[in-house]
Amino acid sequence: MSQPYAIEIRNLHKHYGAHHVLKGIDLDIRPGEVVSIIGGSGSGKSTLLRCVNFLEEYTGGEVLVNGRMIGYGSSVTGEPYRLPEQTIRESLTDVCMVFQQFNLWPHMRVLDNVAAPLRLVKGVRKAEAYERAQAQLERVGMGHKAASYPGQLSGGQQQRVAIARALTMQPSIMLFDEPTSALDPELVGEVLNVIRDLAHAGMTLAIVTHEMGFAARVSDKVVFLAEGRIEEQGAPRELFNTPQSARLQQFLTSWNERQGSLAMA
Amino acid sequence: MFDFTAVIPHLPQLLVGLASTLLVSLSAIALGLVLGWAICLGLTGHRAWLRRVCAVYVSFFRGTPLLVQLILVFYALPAVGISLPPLAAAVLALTLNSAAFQGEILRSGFQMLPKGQLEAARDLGLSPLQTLLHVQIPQVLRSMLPALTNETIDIIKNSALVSAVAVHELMRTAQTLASTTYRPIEFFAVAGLLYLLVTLCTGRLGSWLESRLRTA
Ligand SMILES: Nc1ncnc2c1ncn2[C@@H]1O[C@H](COP(=O)(O)OP(=O)(O)OP(=O)(O)O)[C@@H](O)[C@H]1O
Ligand SMILES: [Mg+2]
Repeated sequence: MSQPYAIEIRNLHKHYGAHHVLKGIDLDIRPGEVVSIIGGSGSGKSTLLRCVNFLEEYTGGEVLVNGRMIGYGSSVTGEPYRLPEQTIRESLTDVCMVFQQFNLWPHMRVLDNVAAPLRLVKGVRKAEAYERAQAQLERVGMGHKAASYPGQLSGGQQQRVAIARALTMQPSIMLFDEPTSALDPELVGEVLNVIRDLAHAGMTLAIVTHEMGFAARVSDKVVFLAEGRIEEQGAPRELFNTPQSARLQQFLTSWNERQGSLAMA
Repeated sequence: MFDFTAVIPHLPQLLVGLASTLLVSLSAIALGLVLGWAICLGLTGHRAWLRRVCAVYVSFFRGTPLLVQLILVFYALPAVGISLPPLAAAVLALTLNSAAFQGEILRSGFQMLPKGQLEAARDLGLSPLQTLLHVQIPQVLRSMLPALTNETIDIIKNSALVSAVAVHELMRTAQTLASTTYRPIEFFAVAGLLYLLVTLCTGRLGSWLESRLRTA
């Protein structure tokens, strides 16, 4: 193994009680690769991402980040056991997630939202933390709002702050779960531009999105999920232009129709 | 008809009574916050039996008259061999009562926080304790402040019931003076005024803290 994958998912299963949500996912993401995950509602896209950073405990298979198994270790007998919370946190320092609902902390100013994790998790001193936080805010075009509270910002601005907050932790991998789905249409572009810049800067990205045009432009690989399985994956050009499976064809057709009716409206 | 000058020589006694009212009430609020915290943890925790125990506790103290609770603490505890001085028993009874209310206030404060905020904290690497201290508690305190102010005012007023079991707080002092001077209206009016003064100040303090926290 010359260079480990950034993310390596082997036969991943997730059950909620009796509900079998992920049914054996295999997916490799190389360092610097940009992978978009598409699929219908309830197909398991969010669950897949959330298993990677262990917001959900997966119930079968393995997730490795930079070659390191996430969440579970194996005993001498080969039985998996759950690792201590702190070990899990440490193994995930290279991964940060951006959520559909931004999830900023409303009682802190924008600058404190971005600086707090640096100070608390990395023990960076206040002045330096503020400096680094300010720099990341500038990078996403939000430097001028450092003193505002999240509630005073538009959705697009909040999402850019959330991205800056993640970036400040200097992850090598970022997970995006429908980062623009909660935004008014005219605010989608500003967030997608920031994500595109990250892609061009060589960061490893896994993006759950309904923005097919964007996925086609930035992705190295697109993964189509249906009912907890990877139905089809490949380069965006092939996947979008010559879909093989009936499910994907139908998914793309209905998506095109929705776009068409939007354009008409 | 009314002769309020009769009250004046006894003002120091009334003020001493007021002081013990405040001592009893504020101790009960502070201790009730600690116990209420434990109840909130129980109510929101993973152990089903503990959730049940805490829920029953809360229903009991919310659903029975405070006077009943007081009398139980005063007479039932000595019956099983625990005898406390009246003041301590009064504080205990009010604490047990207030803890039920504060536990509920805290629980709703914690449950109001969107889960996503905690997931973001965890994802960024904050420990559960750091998340509690920097994300949850500041917001919970702020959202519970109005309810906490109300609870403090309630406890100050309810502490008057403690007079029924021989603690010389404001109400009891007023009763005693009223019957020795035959001036019940004057003494109870002044006692009422003192309660009003204290609860108004509490309300003011609460609003001030709220506005402080909002801009902080
Ligand atoms: N906490 C949970 N408990 C039980 N079932 C859940 C839970 N979270 C998700 N599910 C179920 O798992 C399935 C996949 O959900 P998931 O959120 O991963 O879908 P998704 O592809 O992200 O959909 P969407 O596009 O609507 O966000 C759904 O059937 C959902 O009802
Ligand atoms: Mg989802």
